[in-house]
Amino acid sequence: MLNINNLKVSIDEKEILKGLSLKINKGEVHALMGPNGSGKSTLSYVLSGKEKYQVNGGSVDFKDNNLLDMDVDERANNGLFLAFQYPMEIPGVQTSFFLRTAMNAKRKFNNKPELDALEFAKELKKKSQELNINPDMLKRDLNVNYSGGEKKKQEILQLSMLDPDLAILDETDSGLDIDALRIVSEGVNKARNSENSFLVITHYQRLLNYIKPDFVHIIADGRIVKSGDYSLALELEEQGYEKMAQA
Amino acid sequence: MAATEQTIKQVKTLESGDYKYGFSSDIENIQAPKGLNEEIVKYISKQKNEPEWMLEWRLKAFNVFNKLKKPDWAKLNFPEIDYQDYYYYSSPKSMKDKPKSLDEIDPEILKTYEKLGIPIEEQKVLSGVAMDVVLDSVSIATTYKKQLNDLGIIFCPISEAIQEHPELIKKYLGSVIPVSDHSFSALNSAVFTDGSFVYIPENVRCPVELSTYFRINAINTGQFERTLIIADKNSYVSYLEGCTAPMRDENQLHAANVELIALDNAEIKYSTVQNWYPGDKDGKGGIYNFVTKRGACRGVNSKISWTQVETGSAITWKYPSCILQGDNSKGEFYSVAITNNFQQADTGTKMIHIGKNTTSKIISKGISAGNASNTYRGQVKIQPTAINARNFTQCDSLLIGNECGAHTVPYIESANSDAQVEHEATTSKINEDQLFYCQQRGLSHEDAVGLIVNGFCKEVLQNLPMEFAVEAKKLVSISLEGSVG
Amino acid sequence: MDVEKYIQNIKNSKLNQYFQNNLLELNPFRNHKIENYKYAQLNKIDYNIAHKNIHSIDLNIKDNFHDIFKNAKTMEHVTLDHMQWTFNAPDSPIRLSSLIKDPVVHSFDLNNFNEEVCIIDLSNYLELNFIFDYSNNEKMSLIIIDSEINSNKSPRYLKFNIHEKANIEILQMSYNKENSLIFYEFNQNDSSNVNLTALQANNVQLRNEFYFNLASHCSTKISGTNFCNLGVNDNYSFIQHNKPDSSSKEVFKSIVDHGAITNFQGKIYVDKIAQKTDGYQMSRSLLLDDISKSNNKPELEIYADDVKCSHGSTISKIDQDHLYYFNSRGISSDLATKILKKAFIQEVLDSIENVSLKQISDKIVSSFL
Repeated sequence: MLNINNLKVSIDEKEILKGLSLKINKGEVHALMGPNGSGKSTLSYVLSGKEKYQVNGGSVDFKDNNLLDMDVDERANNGLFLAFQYPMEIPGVQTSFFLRTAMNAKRKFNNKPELDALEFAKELKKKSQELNINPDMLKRDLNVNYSGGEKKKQEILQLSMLDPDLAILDETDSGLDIDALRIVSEGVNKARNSENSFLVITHYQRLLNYIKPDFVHIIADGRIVKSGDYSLALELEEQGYEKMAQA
Repeated sequence: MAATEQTIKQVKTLESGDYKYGFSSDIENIQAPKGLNEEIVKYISKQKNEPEWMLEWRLKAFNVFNKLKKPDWAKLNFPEIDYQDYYYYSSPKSMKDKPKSLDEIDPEILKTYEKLGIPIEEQKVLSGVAMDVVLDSVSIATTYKKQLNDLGIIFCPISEAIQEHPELIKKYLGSVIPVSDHSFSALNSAVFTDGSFVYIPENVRCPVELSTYFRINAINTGQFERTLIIADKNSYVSYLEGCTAPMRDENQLHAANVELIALDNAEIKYSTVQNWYPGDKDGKGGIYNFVTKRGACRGVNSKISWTQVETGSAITWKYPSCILQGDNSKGEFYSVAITNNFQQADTGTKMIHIGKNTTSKIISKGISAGNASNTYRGQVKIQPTAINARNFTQCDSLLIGNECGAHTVPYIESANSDAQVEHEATTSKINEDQLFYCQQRGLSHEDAVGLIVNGFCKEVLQNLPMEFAVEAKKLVSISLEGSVG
Repeated sequence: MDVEKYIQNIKNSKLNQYFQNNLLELNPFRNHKIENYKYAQLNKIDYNIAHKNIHSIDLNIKDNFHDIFKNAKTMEHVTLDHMQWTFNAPDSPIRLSSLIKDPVVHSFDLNNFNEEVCIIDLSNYLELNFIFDYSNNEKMSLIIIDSEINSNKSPRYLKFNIHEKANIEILQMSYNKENSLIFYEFNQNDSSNVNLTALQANNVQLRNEFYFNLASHCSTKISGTNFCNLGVNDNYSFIQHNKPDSSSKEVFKSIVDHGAITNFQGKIYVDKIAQKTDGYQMSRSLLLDDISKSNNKPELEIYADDVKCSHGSTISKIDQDHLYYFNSRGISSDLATKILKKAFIQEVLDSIENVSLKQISDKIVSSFL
């Protein structure tokens, strides 16, 4: 699915990722943990194709294509999804309209006909109920005046609607209370299947109680310093980043 | 240490230790005949012993002045200025002249300055400020000269600079404010008498705050000072300017030109506390203050920052501006303008973005009380070349009483889609709840207003150098006295 | 109007000649020394820029409207009157000239129209000056269409007397104008409400001036949007709070491209006795390319102390982070730009209250995107 090889990335001439490698196969869930400033969010932005991130070396293959060659929307339509840590507020654009536009963009990309309004509404109702999302929220402007929890739920709703092959969750747990965390995680778990993959970026082991990863990686100073299974996350919670990064 | 003592002594002799703004010193003056004509221009030039090229420059400016009309954009109301009714040159005969007696000082004014605490001059000297004192038309003393000399910093009266550094004067004088900009700039160019000249050489950080202290003393004197500050590559200077004038019934005229030039990576910080005599409660007398201040950020990464606290003058007409030529250059304008009684202020700034990645920030606080009128007038212009330019403007006005006016007139012009320009403005009155809260805690109405207004101005006042900030805070409160009933 | 042909004509003829022959006789667009016309300078129009994407818009307005408003009436009951003409807004020679040119005033009593919506198509009239009176408490909706290429280049004057407690909503549309100057004056009596929405698109040279005189407890809402892709488009507003307790809210949004210039000059004036005034003004411009320009001059002139007035103004391009968010969800930059443009002016569309007006505006705006 995703193969990152010795990736080096800088922003404003400051190197953030210093040779990061990571391989994610179909059906796998990987967790990426690390302290602030270790390069977690940079990785998610670079994979999604945000401007201003300078790739200085290495390669990223996504479904056997060179990911770094693609435009942002091309990557998305190829099945890459980023759930943002800070979802953008866009006044004047209704949430449900945005969702529909995004879904149709993907269908068009795959040469499928546009979704008819009824079908979309049915799907949206079902998915938003699963996430305990108030239908009124979908009528409001995209993320405008949403609470922190609502924004994250909305991201996960987009995830389940767009059904990506690889979803990157960038600190989706930040700003969530326990109930919201549970609902969001359930949403993610429902979207999981043997055909898609997840990269879960987080500070805390807490989220991983709900979304069980197959692999856990620790990132420090722009490199993956340790990889293991779920037990690594528990170990980390006990010992802290500093110790683990040294080891 | 010795230098400080010497300075104190010197300033004390100059000001006789009893310097208060509100009285005139009875000093015997050498004065040019009243009126304005070519002969006066020649007279001034001769008194200053100027070289021929300078006189020519002045005469040319005088010609331009004769052709120009007074700028009329400001929202100000005052009778036509009779330029023939002023003296254009005045200089004390001897520096040792002393005022006759302290009894002549208006007790009202004395009370005001008592509230300010220690004489400001002394305070500045004590806190290590190098000062250039301008009394009427002549620069009297420049302290700290030697110490600055050792660093290669030139800080002297502009008349001296014309003699000793003609190459710098020729290169930079009038290069930021063209003589023909408007009639006041032309007038100043023709008859300017003195002012400060500052040159900071490459890679020098000026260790002390440089300061000029202006004072109009003689009756019916126009003061036309000219200041030129050049910060060479990688240099830094902070410059303070203070102004006061004695109380007189006539309207005195003040038309200054200040030019700043910042080369690559240089930074100039220019702070003003203007406390010219504002006229009395009925609007009689007071200074007409027509000031042109403009800075050019010529070099890359250069920065010019204007901070002004305008509490005085009957008429204030003043727009300290920045021309942001160099890539990544920065312009800032922080202003507090307080008008009370019959004062009128039309003040603001211009930010002209030319270079790439230039940024500007404008914070303006206008407070209007009594029968006063207070206008913010500002222009932000983004040229097509100013890729990625950013501007943020915030102007807030506060009205105290319903006989006054507060106006906001911004001009926002963008010709570059990569630029981002934001402007916000509000007008409101003092929050009754805040007032009540303060009074409930035992503050008098007046003190509460002073406190709240100071809070309103905080964003600007905190940009002033320490010595000035204290003085300015007190001025803010004092200026509003009697405005709340 | 075939704009491409029109531009070609301009290019082929000598510009000077064009200016002399074709423009308003008393041309405010040339006199930038008048402060209120500071930015309305014709000589700033660059006719050499390729206006490739510009084509005449056929909105088919009347058919569209009649589909929607089966019961709508256009002005048939017209009374022609010589009327005493008084100006409550500041005088200007330009405004007066329309009177000199045509002293006959068209007078409309809007109370006679009891249908939901009333349509006035200015192209139907040769007269320059109009007075409208409205005094019903019930809300009425009025559509003013200003789209003809009028050989008559004199300024037009539309005056509205909104009587006590009257309540009116107006949709004003200017499009396909090659050169137009219209004054709108609203005299609002106590407790009256006016909700004005202006939609402007595809105009070469346009200037609309809106004057509002407010008595007490009035509410005024002005929302405008200008799609400016050619020439110089100018909007000027002067909102005068003469009495206490009134509120005004103005939002103006311009989308500029193809080297056009859009200008907004607005002023809120609060008289000494107009305490408790609530005034708000916002002008935003979206520049879509490197050659377009926008000038804004929002002004506050306030003489009362117990007021709440604010204004704001921004000029920028499309937010690149927003674009990125769209892209990251697979939406192409082209489509995203369209959606973001629509979002930019959504606030204006939302201010329209009448459902049918909203519908048609939405349709019209979408055709401009």
